[in-house]
Amino acid sequence: MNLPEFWSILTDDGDALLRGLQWTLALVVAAFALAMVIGAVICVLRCHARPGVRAIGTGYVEVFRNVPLLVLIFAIYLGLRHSGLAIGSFAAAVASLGMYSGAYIAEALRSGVIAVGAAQFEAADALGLSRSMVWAEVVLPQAARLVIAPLGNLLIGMIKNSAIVGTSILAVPDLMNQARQLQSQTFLTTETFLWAAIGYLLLTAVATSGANWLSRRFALVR
Amino acid sequence: MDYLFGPENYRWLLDVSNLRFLIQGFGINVATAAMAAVLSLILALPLALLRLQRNRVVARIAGTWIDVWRNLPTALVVLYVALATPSAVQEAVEQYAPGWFPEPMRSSGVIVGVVGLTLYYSALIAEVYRAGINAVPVGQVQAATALGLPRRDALRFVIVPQGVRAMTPALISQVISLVKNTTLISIIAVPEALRHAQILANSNFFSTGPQVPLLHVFVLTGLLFIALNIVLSRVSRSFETHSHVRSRSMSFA
Repeated sequence: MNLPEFWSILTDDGDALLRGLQWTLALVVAAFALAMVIGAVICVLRCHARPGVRAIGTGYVEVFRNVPLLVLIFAIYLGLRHSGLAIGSFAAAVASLGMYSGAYIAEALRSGVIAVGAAQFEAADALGLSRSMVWAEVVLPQAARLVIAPLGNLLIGMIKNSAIVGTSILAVPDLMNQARQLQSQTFLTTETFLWAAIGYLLLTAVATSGANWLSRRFALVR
Repeated sequence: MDYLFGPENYRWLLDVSNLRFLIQGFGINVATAAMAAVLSLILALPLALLRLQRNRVVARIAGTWIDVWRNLPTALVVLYVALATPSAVQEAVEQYAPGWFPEPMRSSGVIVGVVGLTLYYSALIAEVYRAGINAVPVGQVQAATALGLPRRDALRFVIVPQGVRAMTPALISQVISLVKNTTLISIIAVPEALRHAQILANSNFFSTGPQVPLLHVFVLTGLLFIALNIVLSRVSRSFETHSHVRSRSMSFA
């Protein structure tokens, strides 16, 4: 590895890498929001009284935990566009990453719901709350506070999986995409990928410390 | 709706060569996953044992190696190994691949993909080994010491055999993640399942009918992976005793 060239990347192409970092951040934030929504919905489906509804939730989780993310990206971007639905690159990236991670978040929330316990359900029912209020006001907030640490791990996993988006055919100029373009222009493979690695480690460190702060502030212990 | 369920969009399935093309590609994925899994499972054990050494310096170095590879994205590792391997090495690999390797696996992309995946997953699996070894009840370690077993023998005859059964679900979870990440070698132009699906979608190689519908091709490719991974999940579930929480829910890949 060439040290002067390593630093010269920062001065020459630092802004491209920084833009890549911003796109990755935007992708991860949007996908995490979508995944939390999907995860909450699927968690409620998984814990429903009727077996048919539970089967829908279980089917979603089994499918989206066992399919590779790259195949999902191709199916959503190329497949849906071929069928006529005109969705853009960034939307396809957010949708695929969100649907993929939503399955894992659903499982994490479900373990939190089990830890909250049936007593909370029964108490809320006894107070006359409707089903949706029981879930939205009583159970899910407690479940989310119980599983902050696993959700933090899932966020870190999402940051790493967002690199797959950058290497796919999607035209999302995220950090991995910028690093590839830079490498194909300058042929400084080790130096550019080292900068990309530093970028991802930075994001992961921020996410970890954020999750730790949230855990100290809001976590319940059962 | 017509696109999803219209019968003319399923006509390409009747042509056996289409399906065979996809399954050939999937075979490359399975072979890559098998090679990388075996290598990772083997190489992770010395890595985990180094991490557990009494010698603080060695343990710290091994720990840093594991943490670095664990925190990098898989795509970055695989792509970096593929791009950074000099072309001379790649040609040598293609020349000296063993004779019993089938034709599609002789490409340097497969070997380079296996190396990249092994670098990443040996670190993850080393962490699983370490957690498993640490989960063996401390009474066993104390009993081994009381019997006068040196530490190496205690590990070999007492701790690791007891830890392996508990770790198996977590190990299979990592193997499932590995199977999914073999699709990353499609970036390095290896003729695997996803690349074959793209080729099928882009042309009418084998059928002379209307164009193959893209969504159906990729959904079928996804179903191949889902089938394999569900089989692996069922195997993993048979190792879990009732006292263990389902370990796959917390691990992410």
